[in-house]
Amino acid sequence: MLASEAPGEPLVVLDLPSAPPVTRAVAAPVRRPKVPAVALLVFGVLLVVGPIAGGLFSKVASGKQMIDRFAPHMEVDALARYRTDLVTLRQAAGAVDTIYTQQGVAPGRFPGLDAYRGQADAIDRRASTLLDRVTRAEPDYRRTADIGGFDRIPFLVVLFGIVAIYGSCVLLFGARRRARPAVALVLLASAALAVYPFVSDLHRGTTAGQRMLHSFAPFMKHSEVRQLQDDFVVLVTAVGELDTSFRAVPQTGPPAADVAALVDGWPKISSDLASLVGTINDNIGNFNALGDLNTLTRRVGVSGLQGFPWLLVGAGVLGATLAVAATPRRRKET
Amino acid sequence: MRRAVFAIAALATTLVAVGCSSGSKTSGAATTGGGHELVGLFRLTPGAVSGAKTTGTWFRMLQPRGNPKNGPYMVNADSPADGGQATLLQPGTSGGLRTGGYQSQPTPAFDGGGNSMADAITAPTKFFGVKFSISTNETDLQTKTKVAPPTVLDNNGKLTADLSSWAASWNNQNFNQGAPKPVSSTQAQAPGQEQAQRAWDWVSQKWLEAAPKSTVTGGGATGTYDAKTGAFVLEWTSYIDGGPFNGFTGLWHLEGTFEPSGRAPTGA
Repeated sequence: MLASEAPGEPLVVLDLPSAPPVTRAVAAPVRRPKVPAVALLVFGVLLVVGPIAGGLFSKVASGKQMIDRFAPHMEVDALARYRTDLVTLRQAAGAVDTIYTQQGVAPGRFPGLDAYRGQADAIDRRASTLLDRVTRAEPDYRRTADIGGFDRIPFLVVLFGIVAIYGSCVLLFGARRRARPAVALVLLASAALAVYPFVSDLHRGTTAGQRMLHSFAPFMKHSEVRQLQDDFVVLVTAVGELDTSFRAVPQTGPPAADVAALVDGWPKISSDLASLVGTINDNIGNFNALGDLNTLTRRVGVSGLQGFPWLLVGAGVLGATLAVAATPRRRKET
Repeated sequence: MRRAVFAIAALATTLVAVGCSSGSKTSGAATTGGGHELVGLFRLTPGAVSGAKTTGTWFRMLQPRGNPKNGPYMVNADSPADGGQATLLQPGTSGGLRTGGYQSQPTPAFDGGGNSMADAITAPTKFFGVKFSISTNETDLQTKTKVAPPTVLDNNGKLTADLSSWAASWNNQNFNQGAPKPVSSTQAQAPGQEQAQRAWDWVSQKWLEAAPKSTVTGGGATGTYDAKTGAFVLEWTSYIDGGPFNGFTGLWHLEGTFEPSGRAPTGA
C-alpha cells in the first residue's frame, strides 16, 4: 500500500513473486519398540500380582516373626543356661537312683519318681538333641536375623512392578518426550532391586536361612511339642514329689545336694523349658510359612530360599533390559 | 437354568454365612442374652477339702487328649485336694472377682522366681513349685485381643458369664483361661497391615454395614445364683491354645457370695 493514497480508493493489486519454500530437515520417524514394552508391562503386572497372590507378604512376615520370637532363646547366655539346666536334671536323676538304692525305696511309693527314673535317660537324650540342634543353628540364625528389612522385600518387588507398569504405559502410549524419564525411572528401580540383596546381606542371609530351616525342621513339629509336653509332665510330677513326700526319705551327701539343686532350681528350669516349648509351639505355623517361601522359589526354578536374592537380581536385570529395549529410537535413514 | 444357578448361589451364600457365624460371637454379645446383670464383687469361698469332697473355689488342669470325666489331670504335688488333681484357691486382696471392670495384672507381673504377683482375685497359689494367680485384663495377655470386662447375667437363678478376660499367670507365662475364648491377635503381620486392616474395618462397618469382627469364640461360663443369700457357683472349661501348655484344658470352679456394688474402676 502507498501512504499517499487517499482513503476510500481501492488497493492496487501487486503481483509479487512467490516466496521461496522454507526447507527443514525431515526428522527420521520415531520407532516405538512394542514387544519389549508389552513384555515390560506384563512383567510389571506379574511382579505386582505375584507377591499378593502367592502370599509373599504374610510368608515373609511370618518368617520375620519367627526370627524375632526365637531371639531370646538364641542368645549365648540362654543356650548356656539351658545346658546347665540339663546338667542339673541329669545329676538329679542319678542322685535319685542312688538314694533309691541306698535307702531301699520300694517301687510304687513315689509313682512320679518311678516314672522319671524309667524315662530320665530318654528325656535327657531328647532334650540334649534339641539343644544341640538349636545351638548348631545359632550362627545361621544370627545371619538370617541380620538381613536388613527382610519383611519389606515384597513391598520392594511390588513397587518395582508398579514402576515397570508405569514405564511401559508411557513407552507404549505416552508422549515421546516423557519416554526417556520413564526409562530412567525403570532403570533406577531395576538397579535398586538388583542391588538390594547385596546391600541388605540378603544373599548371605538366605543361604544361612536355608540351613537354619534345615536345622529347625526336626523339632518344629506338633508331635515334637507333644513329646516335650509329656516329658515336662513327667519332670514336673517328679520334682513335685522330690519337694514334698520324698523329703521323708533320708538323703545325705552329694546325692542330697543334687536333688536339692534340682528342687531349688526348678522354677528357673521349668521357666526355661516352658518358654522354649511355647516358642516352638507358637511358631510352627511361621516356620511352615517360611518353608513355603523356600519351596515357592523352587517352583520358579531357583534353588530354595538361597535362590531368592538371585530372583531379585534377575528381575532387576530383566526389567532394565526390557526398559532399554523399549526406549523409542529414530529409524535410520536409508 | 437361571433359577437353578440363583438357588445354588443363595444356598452357598447361606452356608457361608452360617459357617462364618457358628461358634463365635461379637465381644459383649453375652450381655445381650437376656437376664439381669450382676455388677459387683463375687466374693470367693476359699477352696477346702472335706473328706473326699473338694469345696469352695478350685482349679484342675486336664492333660491333652484327656476328658473331664476320666482325666488324666495334672497332679500338683503342692495341693492336698484329690491327690493333687485339684488345686485349691484362696480369695485375693479384693476378696474375689469384680464384674463390670478389670482387675489387671500388676507391674512387674512376676518376681525373680517366676511367681505371679497378681493377688487381687485369688491369692498366688503354688502350682508345681511356682505360684500362679489370676487377673482380668482389657487386652488379653496371651492373645493380645481386646476383651470385655467380666460380665455375669442372672436369669432366674441361672448364671451365664463372659469371663473372656480371665488370665492365669505362672512362671513368666500368661495363659488365657477365660470363657468364651478370645480370638488370637498375635499372627504375623506385614508392615502396615494392621493400619490397612483398621482402615478397611472402619470403611466396611461405616459404608458396607459389616458387623464388627468377632473377638471371642465358644461358650461362656455358666452357674447358679441364689438371689436371697447371694450364693453363687460359676464353672467353665478353657482350652489352652498356644504356648507351652497348648492342648491342656483348665477346669474352673468358683464358689462364694455375690455382693452388689458399683462398677469397678477401669484398670483396677
